[in-house]
Order: sequence, then C-alpha cells, then structure tokens
Amino acid sequence: MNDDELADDLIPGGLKKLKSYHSDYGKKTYAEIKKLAGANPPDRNARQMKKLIERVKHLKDKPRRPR
Amino acid sequence: MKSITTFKRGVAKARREWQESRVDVALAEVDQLLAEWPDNPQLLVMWADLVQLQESKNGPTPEEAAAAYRRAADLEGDLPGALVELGHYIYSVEDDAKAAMKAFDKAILASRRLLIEALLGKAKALQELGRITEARACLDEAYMLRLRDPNGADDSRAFEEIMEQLNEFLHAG
Repeated sequence: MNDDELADDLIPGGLKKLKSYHSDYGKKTYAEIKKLAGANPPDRNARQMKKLIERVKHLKDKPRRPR
Repeated sequence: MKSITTFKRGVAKARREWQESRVDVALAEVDQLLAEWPDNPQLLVMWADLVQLQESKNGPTPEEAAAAYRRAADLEGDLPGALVELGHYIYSVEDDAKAAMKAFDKAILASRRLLIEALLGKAKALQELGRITEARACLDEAYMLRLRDPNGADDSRAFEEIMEQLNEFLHAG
C-alpha cells in the first residue's frame, strides 16, 4: 500500500456506505491520514479512515497468505 | 451430485480471482458455491471478506458481511478463522475495540484448544513411531498452552489426557 495514494482510491465503494467512512477525508493521502490519526489529540475521523484503509489491505493480502 | 472436487476447484478459482483483484468475479464464484453449499463456514468467511472489497455500493452490505462471519463462527462451534475476521471487522469497520477484543479472545481460546488437540494427536503418532523426544516436546507444548486456558479444566479432557500421556512416558523411561 502506497503512502501517497488517496484514501478514496484505497477504500472500495462498498465500504463508503459506512458511518466510519468520512468523505471529507477521501482526498487526503494515506500518509496524511496516518499523521492525523496519530496526532495529539487524535483525530477520530482520521483514525476511523486509517482503520478502513488497513482493513482493505488486510483483506487484499489474504489470498496470498498461507492457509 | 455435489462433489468435493467441484468445491475445491471453485474455492481455488475464487482465491485466484481475488488475488488478481477481480473481486466481482471472485464474489460471483463464491455466490455460486454458496448456492450449493449454503452453510459452509469457509465459503461464508470468503463471501464476507469479498463483500467488503466490492466497488459497487448496491451489493451486499458490510453489515451482511458481519452477519456471515457470525454465522460461520456459530456453525463450526466457534471457528477460529471466522472469529478472527469478525474481530478485525468489529475493530476496523465498527470501530469498537472492546467488542473486537471479545471476538479475538474467543478466537484465541478456540485456536488454543484446537492446537492442544493437534499436539496431543501428534504426540500419540510420534510415540507409536518411537520418536519419544519429539512426542515429549509436543506434550510439553500442549501442557504450557493448557496452563494458559482460563477455564479449560471444567469442560475439556485435555489436561487429563496430557497428564496421562506424560505419565506413560515417565513409566516407559
């Protein structure tokens, strides 16, 4: 997963219906979202977007992992 | 007539498509398999995984995916793989770390018990083959895992079984 990719390019449409998806963060890069999520105080929306992006990465990698 | 070969071939095809990021094709394949094997836990987990990767906003919802994980876990008496995915889902998608922890705890417990069973079985096989040191190592590992099971004593025979086998070894020298 590339840090420079936009959140909207990393999160599939099906997950964009969720409450934890925040469209105003869609044009931010993964790197920007990680930075905001780790800020003090943390940005809750960024944290939720980061979780969604990492969830997608986990699922995309799944068929490559040994069973 | 449903055949296991058809099932395996279908699962392999779906995994290939998934790996190549052709999520819709993979999902269609799993849908087809589910029509024949509607309550197969492995298929339910795959289906739920793929639903979350689909681009279409008109397909099955993430909530339906969560329900499929729960069904898969229930069907196989707390299937660890389904519980792990359910935990990830609750943590990442529902953003509920406390509830995710419960699913992960159940998965850890179920996995540990399954591993103990496997180690006990392997110890027996190794003993029969005269590979006593390796058999003993399996029992030691099973014993250590069993010690971490918070409430295993009441509902599993694993502890007694480990002790019986360890005793056998001691008496056999």
